[in-house]
Amino acid sequence: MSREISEAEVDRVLAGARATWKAGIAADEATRQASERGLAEMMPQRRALMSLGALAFAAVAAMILLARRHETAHPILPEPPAAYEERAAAAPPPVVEPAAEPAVEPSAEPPRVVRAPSKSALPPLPPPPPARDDRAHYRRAFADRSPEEVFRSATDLARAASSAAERAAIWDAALERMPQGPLRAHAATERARAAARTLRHRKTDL
Amino acid sequence: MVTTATRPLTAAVIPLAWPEVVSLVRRQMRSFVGGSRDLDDLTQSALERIYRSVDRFEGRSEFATYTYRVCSRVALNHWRWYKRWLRRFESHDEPPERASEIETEAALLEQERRLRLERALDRLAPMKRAVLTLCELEELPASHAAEILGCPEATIRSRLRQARIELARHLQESSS
Repeated sequence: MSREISEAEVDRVLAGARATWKAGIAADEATRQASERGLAEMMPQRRALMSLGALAFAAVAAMILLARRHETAHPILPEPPAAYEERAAAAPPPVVEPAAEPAVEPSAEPPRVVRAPSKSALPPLPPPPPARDDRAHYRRAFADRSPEEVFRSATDLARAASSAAERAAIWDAALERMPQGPLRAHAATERARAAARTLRHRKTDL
Repeated sequence: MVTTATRPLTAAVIPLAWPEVVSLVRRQMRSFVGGSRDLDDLTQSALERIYRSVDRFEGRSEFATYTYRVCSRVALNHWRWYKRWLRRFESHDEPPERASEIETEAALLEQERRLRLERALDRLAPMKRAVLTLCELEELPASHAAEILGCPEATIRSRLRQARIELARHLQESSS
């Protein structure tokens, strides 16, 4: 223990220290209460702001819900194909009632069964009529004529002929009466054309 | 700070709601560490301890004594382990409060006296400081301080006598 400090001096110093201590605590408490009071005064403003925020949020949410409901009731875009398919899949299948069977009156004879005739059962076709010998006919027709007259007659007859085979027979008979020259070359061309036409018709018929 | 916590203390032996406990603990911690910048942190730490161990409070002592004991342990732990480290890096020349808060000359003198007292308290041993704070500054009886600090009453009186003389000497040295 220090000799310079008496017990009375210690009491005096500590009394001052105690007063300082209490004053410090009081000042701290006053500061804390002022802070809490400031917070408490701020609370109504904060509550008002929160209420405004909540109202704005509720209004926006209500607008979104109304817009969605309106769009559902009046769709702007046509329904997508997938929705059709889903709806068709969800819909119950149509009920098909079995058709009433026709009443069959009982009879003694069994019903006749009509069957399509098979090819083997068909009657044979009649034989084709004998073909006329056109070449000999037109050969006789061109017998006493000049090559120019034969060509002119053959042209008229071929134009009036009913078939390519007949035209080929006309030009075949005319070629026999024609010497070498441009008329014979032309007649040969016409005959070849008629013969080719005749072959095509035969293929088609076959 | 858990100043806004509203968890009710449901134990029948605890007569206070949680905000009142917060206020009580802060005031008790303030009595130990003064208005230092660690007050909020230490109060938070003490409140956490009380929150976790409140179920073990059996009501054999007053609830304020129980919280005081928790605060004393937190403060002693702070002084013993952290204060030495903090002292190396912190300058005590600057006042802890802002200059704008000191408005008058009287307030300035009061602030100066408070700083001198806290510096003198900082120079005491942790247990002596706790005894001096409880018995001399908070004016609690020695028996109550013994209950809070978990020491025999004779030990409390002995340490109180030593702490009084040391504090007076430190204060005189700082004033001269």
